Amino acid sequence: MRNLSIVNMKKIRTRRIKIFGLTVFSTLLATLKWVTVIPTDSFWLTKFLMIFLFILTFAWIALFFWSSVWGFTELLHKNRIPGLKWPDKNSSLKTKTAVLMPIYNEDASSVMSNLLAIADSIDKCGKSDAFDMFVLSDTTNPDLWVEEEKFWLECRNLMPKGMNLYYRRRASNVARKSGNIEDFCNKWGAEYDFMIVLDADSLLEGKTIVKMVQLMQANENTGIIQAPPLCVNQNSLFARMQQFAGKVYGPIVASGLAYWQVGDSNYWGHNAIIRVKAFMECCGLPVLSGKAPFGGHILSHDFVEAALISRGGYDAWLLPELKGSYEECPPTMIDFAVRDRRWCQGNMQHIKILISKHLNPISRVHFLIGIMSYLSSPLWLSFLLVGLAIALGKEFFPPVYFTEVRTLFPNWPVFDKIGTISLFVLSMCMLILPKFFGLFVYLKQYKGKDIGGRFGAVFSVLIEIIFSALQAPIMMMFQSKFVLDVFAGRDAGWKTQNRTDASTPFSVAWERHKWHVGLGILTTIVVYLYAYELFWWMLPITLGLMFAIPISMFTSKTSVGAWCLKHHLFVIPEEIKEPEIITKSKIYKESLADLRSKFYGLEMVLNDGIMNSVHIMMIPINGPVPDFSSAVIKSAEIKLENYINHQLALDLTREEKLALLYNADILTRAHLALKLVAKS
Amino acid sequence: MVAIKIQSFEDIIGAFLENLGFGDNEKQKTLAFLVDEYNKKGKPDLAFFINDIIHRKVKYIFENVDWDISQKTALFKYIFLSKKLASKYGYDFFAKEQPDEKFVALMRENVLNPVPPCCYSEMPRQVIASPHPGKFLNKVLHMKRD
Repeated sequence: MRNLSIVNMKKIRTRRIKIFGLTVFSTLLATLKWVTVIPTDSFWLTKFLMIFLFILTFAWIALFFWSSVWGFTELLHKNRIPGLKWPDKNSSLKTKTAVLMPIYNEDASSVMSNLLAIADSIDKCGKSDAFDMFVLSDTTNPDLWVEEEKFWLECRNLMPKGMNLYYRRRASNVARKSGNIEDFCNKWGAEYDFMIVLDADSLLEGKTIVKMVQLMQANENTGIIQAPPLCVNQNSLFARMQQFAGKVYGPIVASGLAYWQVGDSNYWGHNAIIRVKAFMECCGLPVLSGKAPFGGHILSHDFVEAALISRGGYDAWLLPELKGSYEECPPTMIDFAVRDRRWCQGNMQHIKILISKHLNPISRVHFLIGIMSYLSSPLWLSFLLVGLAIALGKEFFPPVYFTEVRTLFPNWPVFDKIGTISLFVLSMCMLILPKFFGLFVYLKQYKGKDIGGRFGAVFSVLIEIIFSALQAPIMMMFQSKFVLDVFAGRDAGWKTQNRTDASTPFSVAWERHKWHVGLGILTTIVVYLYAYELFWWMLPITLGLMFAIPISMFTSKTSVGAWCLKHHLFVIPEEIKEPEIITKSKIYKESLADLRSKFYGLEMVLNDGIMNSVHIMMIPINGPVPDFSSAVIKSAEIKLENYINHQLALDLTREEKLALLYNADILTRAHLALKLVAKS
Repeated sequence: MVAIKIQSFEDIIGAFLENLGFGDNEKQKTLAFLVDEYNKKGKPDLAFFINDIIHRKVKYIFENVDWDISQKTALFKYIFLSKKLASKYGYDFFAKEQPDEKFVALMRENVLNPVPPCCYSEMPRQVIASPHPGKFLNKVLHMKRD
């Protein structure tokens, strides 16, 4: 029996009808107006395309707007989502929870410092006995593999009493993150009631974690509870604007989503608690038929897992009430785009799942929203291009005032300028108003001194709107290319996300944005020469494209981010009064950095006795040893001999390093040989 | 295989003991004992000789650890080194037939568990059945032919 049954289903339906009804209704009204503003002398195909694209793009804005409106009212009235039992905050934990940190070529000290900070925070709640932590590595870089082992070894001694820190690395990272979690479930899942899934940059406060477990205990039919993460810790202007937007607008968006999703919410892949039994019953992901990018292993597994949990009869909740959930956003626009490329492919793959049988209709809406997040960019681009084509068509094919059929009056082409402007203003309001709703709640919630001054917050919103308007066409171009790439069958691969502050150099910005700049200049010239009436309308788009390089470089700068912080711009309360868990994580990171030895990676295993024995001890735990060709082993051995006997640099390929790191016998002998050589 | 330039028995065993954290005094004492033992046993294969001593004792110390012998040996080395046991128990470990009980207890207390014991269960593969337009068309055409 689903928990949702204790809520009046009619009430839930009413919520959904309100949001989707208003979306459809406002789209319909706007489309009716749009039909009248398209120039009457346009070609029928371009007219049809303009209407079709308008419906899709406007509906997308309208859904976001109405969802935000209800999110706003929910926040104002401090309403809780119906259908979830909220337990007493002192209720005991009678269950065991695994905190999972799946990693892939990440900075081990950073990952471990986050885990230690979380462990400390749980310990402060006096609940450390109810949790174990797992670092589930899919790392393919051999040196980082050794680093992970080293930091695991050090950090296990720093864990609170009663809480274990486990580490395992998969030799083969089949199905990426979802395969990594599945491997955990298959081996140890039966021992745990719940699992909290994190990302390498995740931080979750102990009291939030305890609350999540209490909620899971009190709501037996709940499969997933998602705590919306807040972006923190970054310093570049781009990241600080993202953090600010997340803090100010995020609650409106999350409350809006929670309002209509109720117990059919989505899962965002991290900072969430999952009932292991439900997950194991429902979420064994299949390999989709066909080739990548649409077939193969499911990339954006989180949405699919939420859909399968829901199909299995369990509830999934997005709870904006859960605070103390943090993550880090990409520091630059280019890093953001790199992440988007991966997410785009994952979401496009959902097209195949969207139409699959037996899914909850709300799960289909989640898939659709994910798909539209990326597909909307090429749709907007097409919309602009068709509009431009109409304008250019008028230049090259002048209107025919007198047709072959004799008429009393000339056939004047009609262009409803007022109508166009009113639709433009309406669309802009629907995009911008939710930002001010967010600002209103933000200013109501916090005192001026906690947010760097109220004036600063208002001014930050205005600047953010300008910057997001300038960045929007650049992101539109990026995402349109990504969608095209996916449809052309180009795979994104699996790259580690950059999480460190580093300004974008000109060479990188040029490489990434040169086409945007070219297109911006070309469009400006064409519009200026042949469709001047569109020149000013197109300027916000062409300006963003023409200045893509300086915008990308400027927003990537940490010095600009620091200047803004000093001048109370884009300040979030977490920067004024840093949450303890973030401070703790930074302190751990500094102290773990001191542990770095003079040897790194394979050389550490060869030279350090403790690491040599620990690494050898852990090889079989990581599963079957992969096969290496005899040529690779031979070449690795020769290089190793030269390193030991002739002190030559250990210049090994990744494959050679792995071959050595999997060979306990060679590692043992090499360690001994190094001692002998040192003695001689 | 990695070739070692210096091949004398004393050098190799000495380096081996140093790698286990033996200081000069303990090393000389233990080395003398091991050379004597080595000669008594008719100079067998060096690796076999050392492994035999260690493996026998490691098997006993970690009798409750469900790992293979190479892992147990590595675990032994790790604890021996990290707890700096060479000065207190080093000579006795090699010289005595049965390891000291306190030493055994210390070793067992410090066993590393990178992962908990496995309790295997398998997640059933879910079916995501997408409607297949080709199949549907085939069905329609097939029906027409009938």
